[in-house]
Amino acid sequence: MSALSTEPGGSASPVGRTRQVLVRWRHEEKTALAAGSVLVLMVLVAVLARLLAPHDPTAQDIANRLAEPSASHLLGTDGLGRDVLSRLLFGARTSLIASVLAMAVAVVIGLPLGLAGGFAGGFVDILLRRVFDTIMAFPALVLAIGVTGVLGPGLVTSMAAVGIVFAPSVARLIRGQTLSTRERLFVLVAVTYGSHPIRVAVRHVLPNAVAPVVIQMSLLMSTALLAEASLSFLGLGVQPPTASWGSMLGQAYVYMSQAPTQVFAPGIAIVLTAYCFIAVGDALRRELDPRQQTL
Amino acid sequence: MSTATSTAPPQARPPTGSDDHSGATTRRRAARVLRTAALRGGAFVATLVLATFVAFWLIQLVPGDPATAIAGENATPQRLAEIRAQLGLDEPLLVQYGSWALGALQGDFGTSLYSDLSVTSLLAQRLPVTLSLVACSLTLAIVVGVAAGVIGAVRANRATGKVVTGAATLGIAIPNFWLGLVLVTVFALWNPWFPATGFSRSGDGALEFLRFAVLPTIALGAAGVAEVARQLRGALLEVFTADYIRMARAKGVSGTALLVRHALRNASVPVVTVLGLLINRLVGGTVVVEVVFAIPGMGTLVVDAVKQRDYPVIQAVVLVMAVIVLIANAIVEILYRRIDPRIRSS
Repeated sequence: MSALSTEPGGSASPVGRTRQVLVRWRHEEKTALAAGSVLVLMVLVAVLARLLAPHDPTAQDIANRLAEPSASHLLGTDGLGRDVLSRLLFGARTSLIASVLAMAVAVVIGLPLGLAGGFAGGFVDILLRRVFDTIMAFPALVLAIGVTGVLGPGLVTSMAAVGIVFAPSVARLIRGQTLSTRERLFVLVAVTYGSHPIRVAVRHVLPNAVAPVVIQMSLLMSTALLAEASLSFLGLGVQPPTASWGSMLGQAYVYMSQAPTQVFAPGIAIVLTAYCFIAVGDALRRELDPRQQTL
Repeated sequence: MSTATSTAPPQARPPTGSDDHSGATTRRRAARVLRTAALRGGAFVATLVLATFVAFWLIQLVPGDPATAIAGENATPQRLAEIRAQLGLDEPLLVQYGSWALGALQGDFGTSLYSDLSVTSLLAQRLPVTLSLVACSLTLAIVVGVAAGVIGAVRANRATGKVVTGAATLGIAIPNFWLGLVLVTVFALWNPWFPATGFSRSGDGALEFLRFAVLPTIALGAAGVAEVARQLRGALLEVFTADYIRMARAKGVSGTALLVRHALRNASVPVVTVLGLLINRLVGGTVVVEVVFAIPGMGTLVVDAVKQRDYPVIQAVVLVMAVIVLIANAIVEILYRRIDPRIRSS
């Protein structure tokens, strides 16, 4: 029965199908639609940060440090007198780029390996699964901290490390999908007609495994966002003076006894964004995989 | 009654040996259990060995000469040679790995480059603190998470259920360290009810331990509560539609008995699966939470080691944390097999 429900619906174009889904979501998935809109807004903010920000996010004004919110500084200033709102807007850019980077690394590594393991089977599969199990045993944050500790702090290295730790979860998903699709009739037909295994994997197996990966990607984005925040909070991710939401929290922590309210704005930005990714992911799961409510 | 209350769906039973308890079947089953145990044990050891290799390989990532990186550009040649000898950097790679792994196996991770203390003694000081924090958070996640999951599923279409479910989704979006910062702000700075930083020493008594542990436990465990609640709610909702639940209901099994004896037991399978993932997250998350609360655990140890470029300590903490997760996952898998008879036979 699940074979039928995951079959791509008819011959409608992807655009048309997306529109249909969005129309339906206006009634059934109001939260997800709102969350999706917030995410689009976030991306716009990240892209247009330079236009929207009232101040230079790195301009220091020591005389006016830890200022309360005012007309010229809507969210006040931080410990070095920098405008918090401007840093928040530019921070959206850093945080989103970092999350996309980690997710992209996870998918680029995990997708082909999962496909290969599921399709090849046998020894290759066993070996790959053992490696995945090992990598998954390392808490993502700990391995990222270890890698940055050795390579030196930086956003790209730390998020690449996070992406590597996430890769097995993508690979496992693809592998599972591949195993179930591999036995389906159209795959057997393609194999019988002498299609090259790689062609079969990419043309026939992969499209049927896309839906769960898309769901997983939106959840990975939220996890990556939280990982970036943690690493930058510890000073191992983005380096000063660049702003990210995590590094802003790191700054706020330093001045916590003097200005405790500094911890709120960046944290709320992180929670809101992560929540929207999860809400959209949940709705996609209900949409694409109605039988399976949970991971 | 007895047939209807058998908790697993009947078709899920393995075709052999469920009704028949003759000696041959028992022996066959024992052999099968042994074989599975040996296979799983072998896989566990293989993963462990691979994990030591990953931890060892970390130090190979050091750009340029590790000895120079440690001692600085202006170090004397004697000092460089000393460090190389101490880390065994003169040996071939495989020999280095062999001696390091052999040492690690015996609990010898070398000497901290920063404090000249043995890494093992540092770990011995810090490990109990981290483990107690992770254990407290795990308990919180399971107890509160199960309660919230049940409420979310039983009251799925009512306001309470929707609020609980919404809160759970929000819960996994909250970074643990930020929650820690907010908790410190509210319950330590604005209302001085709990200490903002630090941890109790052993022998301080349970009350003192709790006073220090409450805020970090909530900060670290909240996302786990949310995760367990979401997972359990989803599993329960799926179980509620199963035939054997409808059957039991039709036979007049009351609400609580139905929930506890029929639904929860089957819904616990995906929850147990998520526990392994949860332990991984908690062990990773403790690093940042310990920094926020200045708790002298493994997390602050590794963060300090990163700042001081204390490579042996970094390696050791990374490996020990992976081993904790591996052991926890092995325990989870044993639990999983006990709970789900479908897995036991395959």
